[in-house]
Amino acid sequence: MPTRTFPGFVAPSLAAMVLLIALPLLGVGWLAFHNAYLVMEVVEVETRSPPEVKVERVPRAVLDAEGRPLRVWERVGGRNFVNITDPERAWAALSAPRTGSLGERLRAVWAEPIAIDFWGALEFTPLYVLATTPAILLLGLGLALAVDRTAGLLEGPSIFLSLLPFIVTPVVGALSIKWLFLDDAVASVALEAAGLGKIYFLKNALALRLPILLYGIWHAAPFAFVVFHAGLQTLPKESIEAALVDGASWGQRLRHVVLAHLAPLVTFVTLIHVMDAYRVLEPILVFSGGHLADSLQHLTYYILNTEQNYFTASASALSTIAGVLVLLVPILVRAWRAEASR
Amino acid sequence: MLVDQGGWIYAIAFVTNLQHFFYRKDLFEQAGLGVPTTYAEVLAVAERLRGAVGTETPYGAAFKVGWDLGTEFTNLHLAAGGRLFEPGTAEPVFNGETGAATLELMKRLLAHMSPNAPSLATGDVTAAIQQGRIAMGTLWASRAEAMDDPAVSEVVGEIGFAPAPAVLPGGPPASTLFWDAFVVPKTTRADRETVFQELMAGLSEETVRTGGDLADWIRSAAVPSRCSEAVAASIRAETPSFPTQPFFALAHGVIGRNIGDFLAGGESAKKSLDDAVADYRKAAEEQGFL
Amino acid sequence: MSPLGRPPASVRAILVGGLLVWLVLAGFPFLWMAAISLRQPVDAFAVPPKLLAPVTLAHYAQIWLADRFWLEFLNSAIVTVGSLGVSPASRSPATTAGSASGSCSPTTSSRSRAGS
Repeated sequence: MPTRTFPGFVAPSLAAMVLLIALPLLGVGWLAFHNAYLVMEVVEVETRSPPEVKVERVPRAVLDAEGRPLRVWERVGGRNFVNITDPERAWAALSAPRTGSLGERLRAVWAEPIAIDFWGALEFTPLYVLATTPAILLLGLGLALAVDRTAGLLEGPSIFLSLLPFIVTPVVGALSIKWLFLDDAVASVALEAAGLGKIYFLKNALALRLPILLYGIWHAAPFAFVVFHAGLQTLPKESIEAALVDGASWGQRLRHVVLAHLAPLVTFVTLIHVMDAYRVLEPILVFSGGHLADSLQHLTYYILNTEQNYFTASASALSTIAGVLVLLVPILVRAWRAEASR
Repeated sequence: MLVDQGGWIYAIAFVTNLQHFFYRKDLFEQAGLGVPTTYAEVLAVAERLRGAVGTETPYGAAFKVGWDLGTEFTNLHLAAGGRLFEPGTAEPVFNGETGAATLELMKRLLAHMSPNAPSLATGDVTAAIQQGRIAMGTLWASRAEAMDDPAVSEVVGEIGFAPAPAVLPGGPPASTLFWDAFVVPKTTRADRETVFQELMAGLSEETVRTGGDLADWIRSAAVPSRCSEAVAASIRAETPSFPTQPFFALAHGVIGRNIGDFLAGGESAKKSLDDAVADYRKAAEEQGFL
Repeated sequence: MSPLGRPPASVRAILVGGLLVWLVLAGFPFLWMAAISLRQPVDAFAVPPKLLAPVTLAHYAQIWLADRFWLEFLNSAIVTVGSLGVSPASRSPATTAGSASGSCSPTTSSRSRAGS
């Protein structure tokens, strides 16, 4: 392509990226270092509301000459970041003198910084990524191989059913799972009938983590499956035939031919899933809608919940982006090296 | 009723709502139990009704961590004579002895509720009563009418209503009064006069007289129903209003999020409340209240 | 048919068995959701759960006619079609440019390899 026409082709998409991604991101960056609030004064007023008339002292916004509320804007430097990460309290929690057995002391050292919302959220997010990623890769590969074995009539319905958890809107999918696990609902009753006793999945944050992780795997595995399924269709016949001639067993063919062929797709699925895992919101909202003991949170939900204060929310958003980058860098570096070595 | 503050009218209140006590009349009668008027009595009754509905946990209330749990704490804390703030300021004082005692009471109640309770909100508790899975509970008055609807309820006619139990003997019910009101925004594109007339037609004397069981209307013409008597009794017993200070919303949020740590057994009551106060201070300082 | 060839019987059993379990796990929650959408709440959340219950279309009538669900449906459709239309329109020229320049890369890389 001539060098002159290239910018013309790229321009629309570049403009869209600047307008829709770069500018809002800069805006968030600006907000993260600012704060604004209304100037309040406490006044004594007579309030008439059901069921009574009372005189009370209430804070009220101070108005300017034109009758608009007076708002103070200030540049706060890193204060928003300090507020969300609360290094002082985190350090105090870490360095406090402790008694008891080693296990108790370790648990206390772990539990106390986690009580700070941001660190609590930070704890579960990577756990979610680390727990679900290998599971969806394995399950996706297994499904792709299994569907590959189903002949003719069964293949279509198998693919359709397998994709359902991925296609259906996450809120609906998460609800459909939660309803099975409520008190005396289908899954709870079935597990009890199977002799496992009454299991309360929703009783606290630790117990809730299991259905949320399982939901994450259930929801994302079909994505890995469909990518690997497509990858299998492009497997070169010659390599398999050559492997057969060489007397390679099924396991050897799987390892050296199929997995070697699918390797770039494994990187691709991992990359997409890690990014997706960072913005998991629906199951958290649906399963708990809140924070529980030992904090069941997720960074996205935390940002949504920072007291409707978009300045601290911006600071946590920036911190989250930094977190995503940290997790993505190893994968990107690996992909880059693989590409460069070709 | 016109709602005004310092002479400035800003809404038309038309219904009230508050939490009161729901109980299975048949089960209480069988066991020869009276309706509890304090939470100490609720705990005793819960002990007696253990197993009566095929479960070890006969009590229910919306203890879902977050908004619901924050509301329960507020109700119980105020009824125990506790204060949330220094009067006239945004200075938090809910982490004192009364606060800790309130949390201890909540934990004792939790022992009589489904272990899933920290995830269950009003709708789940409503369904539990309707399916006959619990024998009593503290729940919104707006849910009372659906107890007698056979499409959603297995216990039609079996549920009795009473003011929420008190924390202190002879004290006010552990509940807070809410009211819903109409406001018409200045920026509405509809004709404001027409909107106003429509709203007034909706609140006509005829509506409130024939729809007595639909809501607890704030109109003298309203006819009390089986469900609304407990609400009227709660108001007579001086149920306080739900706090309306703008900084209360911040406190409500942090309380609802932090006290779950105590209820789940992870930390002391004092520590949960101190954490809540620390979070509240941060948020209130950012918004200029402190 | 599989490009991989026939796996050993044990692997086959795991694959087929696993697939069947997965299909149940993938399908059942939606099947159950569909079932309770056709029931009165008193049956939908019954204890213990009911396998069969009287069927009603009342909830569909309620959301589509009374709650104006069609309006929300329409909004979703507009967003979907809109973003489907706008996004490729702005992106496809760049993709063309990218793939066109990409097709040159083997030459560059083979040249650099030849040089090394």
